[in-house]
Amino acid sequence: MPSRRDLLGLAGALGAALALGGRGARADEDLVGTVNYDTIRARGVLRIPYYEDFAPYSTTTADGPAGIDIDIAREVAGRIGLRPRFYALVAGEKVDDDLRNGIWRGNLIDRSVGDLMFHIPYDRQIQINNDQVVLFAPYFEEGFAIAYSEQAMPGGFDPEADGDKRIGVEIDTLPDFYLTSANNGALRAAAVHFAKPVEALAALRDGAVDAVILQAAQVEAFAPRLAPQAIVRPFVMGGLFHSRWTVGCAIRESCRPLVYEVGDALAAMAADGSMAAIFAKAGVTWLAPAR
Amino acid sequence: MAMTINRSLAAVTLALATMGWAAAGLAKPVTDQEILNDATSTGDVLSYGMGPQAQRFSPLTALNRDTVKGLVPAWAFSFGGEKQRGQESQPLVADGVMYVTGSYSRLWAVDARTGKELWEYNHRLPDGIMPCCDVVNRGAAIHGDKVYFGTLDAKIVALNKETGKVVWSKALEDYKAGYAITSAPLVVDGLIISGIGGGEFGVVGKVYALDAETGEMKWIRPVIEGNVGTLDGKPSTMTGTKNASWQGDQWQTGGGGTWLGGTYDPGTGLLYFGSGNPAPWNSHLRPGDNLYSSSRLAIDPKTGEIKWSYQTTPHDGWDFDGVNEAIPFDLKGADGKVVQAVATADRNGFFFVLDRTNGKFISANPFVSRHDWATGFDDKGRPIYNPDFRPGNPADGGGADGKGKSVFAAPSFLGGKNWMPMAYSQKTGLFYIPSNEWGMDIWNEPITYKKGAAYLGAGFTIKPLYEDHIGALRAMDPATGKIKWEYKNRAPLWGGVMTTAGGLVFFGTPEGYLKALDDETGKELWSFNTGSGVVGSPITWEMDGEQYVAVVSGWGGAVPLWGGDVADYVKSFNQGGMMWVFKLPKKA
Repeated sequence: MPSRRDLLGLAGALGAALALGGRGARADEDLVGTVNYDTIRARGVLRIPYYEDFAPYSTTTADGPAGIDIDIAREVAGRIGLRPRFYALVAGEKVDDDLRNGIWRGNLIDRSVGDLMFHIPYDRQIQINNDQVVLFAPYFEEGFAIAYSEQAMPGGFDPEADGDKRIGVEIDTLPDFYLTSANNGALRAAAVHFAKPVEALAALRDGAVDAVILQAAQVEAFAPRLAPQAIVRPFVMGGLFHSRWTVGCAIRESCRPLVYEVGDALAAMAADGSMAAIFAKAGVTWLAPAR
Repeated sequence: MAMTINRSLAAVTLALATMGWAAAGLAKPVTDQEILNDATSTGDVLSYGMGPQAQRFSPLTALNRDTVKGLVPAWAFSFGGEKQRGQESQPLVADGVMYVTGSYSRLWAVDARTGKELWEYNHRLPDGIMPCCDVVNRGAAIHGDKVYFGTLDAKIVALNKETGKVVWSKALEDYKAGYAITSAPLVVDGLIISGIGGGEFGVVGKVYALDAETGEMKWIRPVIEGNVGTLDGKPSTMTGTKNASWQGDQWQTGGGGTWLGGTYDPGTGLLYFGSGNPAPWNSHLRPGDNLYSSSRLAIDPKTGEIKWSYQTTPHDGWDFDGVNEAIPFDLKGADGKVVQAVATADRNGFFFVLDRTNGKFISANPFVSRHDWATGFDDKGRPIYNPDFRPGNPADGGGADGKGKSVFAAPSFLGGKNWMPMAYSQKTGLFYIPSNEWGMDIWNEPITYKKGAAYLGAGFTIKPLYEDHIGALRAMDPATGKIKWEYKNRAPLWGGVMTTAGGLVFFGTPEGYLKALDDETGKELWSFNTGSGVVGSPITWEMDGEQYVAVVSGWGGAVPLWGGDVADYVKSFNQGGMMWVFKLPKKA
């Protein structure tokens, strides 16, 4: 009996043949309107919107898109027999905007839609709010981390006493809202806002801030280069704030069969160590999703 | 050879001198003085708002209460293609040519007599634009031999108005950070003055002035305290006083988008610009008034200096963006004295009258039936808040699923009035305000979204307040704050208003109608269905002895994207993209 993998490989080969055959070269560009599983298979190309300015997960380099999510996406596409095609997506105000622009309504200009998005929070409320997409296949867990200077904060960060310190955060992130609202805003003046995580870490290196609180992967990937003296700890916020969350994929509702194929590919990557290896290449520890 | 060329050049110059611009087949350049006189010159419409003051009042009277029933289409012009969506534009008319912008940053020049297309400029937009509230454009500006407009990738483009060819193009900000321009530029003394919209995270709204000839930046004025402006490329002065009303470094990222552009009053020599709501949305994170968010600012067009400011919603917690247009007008008091005033109908449901020379508060009166967030304004012009209607602090809990306490409050965040411009009649002394009656459930959440990390920060659902109407066009007396009449509309009003000395008030509805009402009574005198929702702003002008009226039709904008329960009612309206031009036929 052929394994599931063999069947997928066959389907991929068939898709590639179709793309080269009757449908002609334009098959790749057939992106307008409803796209379902069969049309993706027929064109043999998996369109993947990615966040352009989101290192170490994804970024645009001179050699094209790169990063953890890009590597994972390439590997997944290869395992399910599709050719990945990446294009940058500008992040909106809400994840709902990204799902709308990325994979169901599509791009405002040419009305093309992507097929599969990585790095979408695996969250019940987001799923309920977005009935045109399926959230699936959580593939890692992310949280926040603090990197601090030992001279400035010898005992580590103390939310009760560090209102006079300078703490770098990325603007409009949970650590930002934590500092500006916890303890009745006692840390509000301590928050120093940066547009990009690497700018916050460079400020820590230069002594312009005493600590930074960022996504753990950003600290892990960039602190060794930018602020090698910093002490790094996981950062857990009290009260109502989410300190950890699970990240997965999203796909158009009409492409549901891909959910199983992509899910199987990601599970296989977790099992055979290639997932951990991709994270390790970026200097980041892979944490299996808790659910 | 060279001699021949010189001779022909000389011949052309001579011909121009003798025949004049028009006879040579060239439209004459538009001067600053002509733009200043736009409100009184009836043969053209040279500026957004039908004059730099944006009163949207025409002195024409051929079309009036008695004759308007004879108004019929003269020609129509399709924007073509599949690029429809919202058409919130107001056309310009100069020298028999109409310049109109459309969705997706397009601009057409059309023969105003026949509707024949002269040229189209179709801006090449990058994939990554992120306009929050539809791919609209509100109109162009004209000066010299050029026509100007803002694009969804945050550029001001100057085109030769004869050929549609690009003369210069200047990016005000990076569209990848979420910036876009949807407002019409304003021309003052050879400067193109613009605000900017969008900006997803951590931006500060600014006003920009560019040299009309070269596109060179003359000055930039940030509208949140603590930020430093520029003049001639060098740092100029700080806006306000750092940390006076913002804590920590939040002023660096305090919001205040200037996306609706401004007005200009030649009498005071001041620009009047509105600033958007402060960031972040959750007001509990930023104690203080948060100057100069949700404000009206008077700015010196020569230097970019702020001369005065007035905050319509200090410490905003409801998304009561303060960008709505401020219209200069002469207020006649009961004692017969005339005050140089400026009026604005805010998102927050109040109609404000200020002294336009110094920003002094004169009055604030509600123009919608419910204004939960404040019971009124005190003598100094500060709102008397109703604290029960401020969405709760998530840190205090009280809401479902770890949210802060949710409240139902009116007006909704789309405002008692939104972007759609009101009109002021010099004939009746009344303002005609396109308003909407809706409220919202609003809550703050303890969490935000940033590229894959958790989600949201506040939430809202819009709900109508009444079963029979959402939209209401109201005639407001600025001297008394009393509403003289109202005209109800089932769908939300989302287009501009125009009034005329002929006693008419023109406006469009999402149901597709362009309507004319009696300016004294609100009685409907004429209507025409354009086939798609009207969210554009009508104009009127005189050509060959006849009075014309024009409006753009094409349903879209923020309502179908954001409207909650309201969107369910309006989602079946057909889209479009059409310039409609009407006139009164000459008697045979």
